[in-house]
Amino acid sequence: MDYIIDGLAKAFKIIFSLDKEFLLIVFTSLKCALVSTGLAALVGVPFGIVIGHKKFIGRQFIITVLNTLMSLPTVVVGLMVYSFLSRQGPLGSFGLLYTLTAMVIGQFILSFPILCGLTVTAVRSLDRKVELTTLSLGANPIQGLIMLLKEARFGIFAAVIAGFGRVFAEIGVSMMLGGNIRGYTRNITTTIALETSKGEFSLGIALGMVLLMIAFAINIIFAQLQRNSKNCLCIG
Amino acid sequence: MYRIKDLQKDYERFSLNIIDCSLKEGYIYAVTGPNGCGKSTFLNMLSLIEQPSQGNIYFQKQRVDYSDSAKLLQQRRRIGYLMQNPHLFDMSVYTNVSYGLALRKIPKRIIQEKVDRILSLLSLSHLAGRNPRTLSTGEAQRTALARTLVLDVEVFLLDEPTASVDKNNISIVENLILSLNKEKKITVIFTTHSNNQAYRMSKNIISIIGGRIKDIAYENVFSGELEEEADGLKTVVVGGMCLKLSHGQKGHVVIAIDPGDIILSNDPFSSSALNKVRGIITKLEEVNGSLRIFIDAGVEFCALVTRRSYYDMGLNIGKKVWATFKANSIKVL
Repeated sequence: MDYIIDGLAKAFKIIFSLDKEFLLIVFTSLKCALVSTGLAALVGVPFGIVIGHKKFIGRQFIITVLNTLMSLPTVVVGLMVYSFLSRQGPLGSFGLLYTLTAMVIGQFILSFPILCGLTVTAVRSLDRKVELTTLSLGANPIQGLIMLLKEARFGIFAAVIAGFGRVFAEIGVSMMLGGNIRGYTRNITTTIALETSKGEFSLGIALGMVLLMIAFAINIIFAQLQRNSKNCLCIG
Repeated sequence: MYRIKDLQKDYERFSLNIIDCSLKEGYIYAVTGPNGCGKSTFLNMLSLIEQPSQGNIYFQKQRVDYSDSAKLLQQRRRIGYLMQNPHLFDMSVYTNVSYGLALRKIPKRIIQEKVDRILSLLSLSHLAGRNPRTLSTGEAQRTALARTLVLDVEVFLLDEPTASVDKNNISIVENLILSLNKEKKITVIFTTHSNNQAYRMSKNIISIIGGRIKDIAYENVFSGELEEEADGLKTVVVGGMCLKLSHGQKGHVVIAIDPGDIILSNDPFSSSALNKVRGIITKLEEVNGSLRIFIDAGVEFCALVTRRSYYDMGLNIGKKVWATFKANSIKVL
């Protein structure tokens, strides 16, 4: 029990002293997660809007695939991207393995289905009601789509937050594609795994607390946005 | 205003069929009929939002061409349509009401004047800054109505405009619609479940039964299962009343009883009429010189009496009366 209390005391010391290595690890996690989520949002949100709004053959199949990919195991993504980026792989010549770029690629693959799938859900839940109302008031298709996006904004924000939450807390991709290189690709989750295996709990606990706080904040925002997106008003 | 020729709109389990129908400019039309008869589909067609499966609609003497989206948009912008379950946008009441005007590129100053006026007419001014999700159902319904009535259009299509409006505000809404028709000569086509409201607001009743327009505007429309008795008589049970009919086929039927065929009396009397029911008077209304007496006998129905009969019988709300009518008076639609 003493070593846990000792670990906690040291963890608080690390946090409040703003230890350089500790800050670099948190910064690496944030940087990777923000870049990968940003890129996934740039691609996934427009895709989600199109899939949610337009009716075409194979639409339901795509939605089913997206829903399945939402729970993609991180180690499977790590393994898949690893096979492409390793020296023998088709993209081995780019020398991306064990870089932040490799981690961003892996995290992009993880967050894309979440962002796209939840955007589809947000748009579909409002689509017909909003479309008919805007048409009844004299909107053209583009004006109708703009209003649809305004109405679905909370759902879309929630999708982005959920995507960020997923990649920020993952370890499989970061470990397999980043290699946990100190001062370069080492992030919160890989450090916790390493420090625990070494029997050094203090840094792990400090980072764990940061991870929990950020995850908690993300979930509060996510829950609030989901509540807002469900509160759309339809009379009758 | 509208001419409809051989129109058909097919859904999985329902189709609307209108062979020939003309709706004149400047008139008020009330569309009545039971649930699921096609009233909303009829308005959807007139709003030009949905395309018919077959047939043509002529709007202001021009055939509606659904392939010409630019022209269709221009035609749609001459129509103000309040749908049955309108969606209120997640923005203030003021922004909701001004949305249709903003789409038509009306200057902001004029938008403000128009929105302020309609909000005031519908007693919504104090709610202008509120989000619709904080409003009561009645206030939300009036907001949706304001959003439609604020538009400068040639026709208003209103799908049950007072469905969720509280009793105190129904007459405000009705008077506003009547004044817009009278002062601006705007054609109004509205649906209602209340025959009472239909007759109060319009002399032109369109009765839709089973997806078809009927020549006569039927009242006291009920539906039920028709059973055949051993003596050849047919019966339909409607809300506790067992009605006897002279004709009709076994199965689900829609029936109508002409209010003029119903005889009211304070006591039961001997006659050849097979239908005698006792009920309580719930409402009295004067329409075009006659009195419409609403009676609750398990379901509410309406009988027509003269002013003299009303005084002679001492009819009043809460009084119990007998309603007598012949089996032949019940029409199977």
